[in-house]
Amino acid sequence: MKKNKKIWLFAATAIVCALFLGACVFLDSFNVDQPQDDGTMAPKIKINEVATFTVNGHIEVAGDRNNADELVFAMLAPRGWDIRNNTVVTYRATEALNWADVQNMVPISASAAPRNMPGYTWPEALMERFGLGPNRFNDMEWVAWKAAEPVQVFNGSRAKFEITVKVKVGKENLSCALGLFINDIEDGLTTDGRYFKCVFSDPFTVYGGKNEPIDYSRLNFNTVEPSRALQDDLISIKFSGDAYENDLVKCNEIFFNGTAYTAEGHSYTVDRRDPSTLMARESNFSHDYSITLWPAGFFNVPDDETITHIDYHFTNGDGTVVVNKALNEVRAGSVPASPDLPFTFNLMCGN
Amino acid sequence: MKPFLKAFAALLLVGGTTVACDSYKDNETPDTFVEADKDLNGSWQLSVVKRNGVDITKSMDFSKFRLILNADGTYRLQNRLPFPVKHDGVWRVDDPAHPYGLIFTEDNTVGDVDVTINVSTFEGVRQLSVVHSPGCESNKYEYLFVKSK
Repeated sequence: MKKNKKIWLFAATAIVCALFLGACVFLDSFNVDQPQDDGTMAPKIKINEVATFTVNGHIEVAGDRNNADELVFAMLAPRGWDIRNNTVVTYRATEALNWADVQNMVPISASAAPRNMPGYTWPEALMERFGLGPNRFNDMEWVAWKAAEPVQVFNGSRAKFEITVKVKVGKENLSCALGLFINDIEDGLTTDGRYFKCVFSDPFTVYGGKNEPIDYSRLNFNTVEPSRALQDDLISIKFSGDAYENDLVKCNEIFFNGTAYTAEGHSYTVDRRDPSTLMARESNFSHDYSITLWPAGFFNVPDDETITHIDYHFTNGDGTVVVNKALNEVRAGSVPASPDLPFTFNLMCGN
Repeated sequence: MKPFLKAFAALLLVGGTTVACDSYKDNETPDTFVEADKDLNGSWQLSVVKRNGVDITKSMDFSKFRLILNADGTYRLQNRLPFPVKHDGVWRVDDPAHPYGLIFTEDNTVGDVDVTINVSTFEGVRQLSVVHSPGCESNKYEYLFVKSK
């Protein structure tokens, strides 16, 4: 290869040290620190502001390759950020591209499948392959972007790249580990780890909102999916019996009971233990139980009323054993305001 | 070959060719071909429900919900679940041969509710897919209906 011939393997993509396709991807840094008021940098930002994340790496091509390819970048973030619509992703690279030129990336079509995981969309494939990383609260989503323009990939090159991600964070206080993934369209999520990279950040915090902070890494007895919902959504409420010590997991059956409160000032209580409130055990290997319900229908709320929040707890067949927020706080080392403090789910949309 | 035999052979050849041409004649002219309307009348029940791309069909009892599209243009909802419309009314499709939209008008209301649909056939069974967001806009639900028996 001539020395003066600029070569670029396409930004983070390519990968393959193997005989034919060869471009191995290396990640050198993933920076989520944001400038703070005091001039320092820290992995936190105020609600509704635009965070800038940078990814640096390089690609080494070691095989015969001479074709166009498209860099793929994906991120795992809280669903409430709606990163597909609230994020701008760009990159720049050496070799075939000029480092000074900023290149655009565009979201991969919601129906497109990775070449080596047919039947899955990119978000589904990434969730299947890498999951949530260190996060425990399953209210996050993977979204994938690709380079807007293919780049020629050649043998023997070593190109560095930098990806810049600008994302408007949501309006909720939270702390989570962000996921990062790099690959290329040609590789399309093979199982060979040389050709893609996936890492998770240390906890990244959003603060300044009104809600109680959501710690995505923390264990709780309860979770609700999706975390942002209204009364005509279908919500899944989960009891994680292995989160902390409790007596409810010793019971044969576990039920969901609660009260829906409406903006019109009424409340609708479901306080019964029957098939309609019975929670299903998700696996014989854990004490996870869940129930999926339509709030308006479950609580029999009239069409002209709007549910604002639901207070709820988990209980056994005769209602004598209860797991509520008070117990969750005790087990997590806090002192609850009342031993009867219920879990609360506020019905609202994220942004 | 005698002239008579030559003429006879030529006749056979022409006749055979004519027959051959006739046998491949396409009686259908593209301009007059009309695709049959997609029959959406009937009682539809849910076979698959996905929330944000995750199959939740087994998480809840969806078996009782019915979307009944009557041939007279009325529809009914039985054992209601979240759906783009809440009340009974009248319905129509945007294009009978290639329906991409169901248009509902609820009783005692003004205005239509347009719902994008995908009609397909899988293993001989007609399917009707509806993607909608009855709650938060960020939550997408895919309802896959099949006709109830």
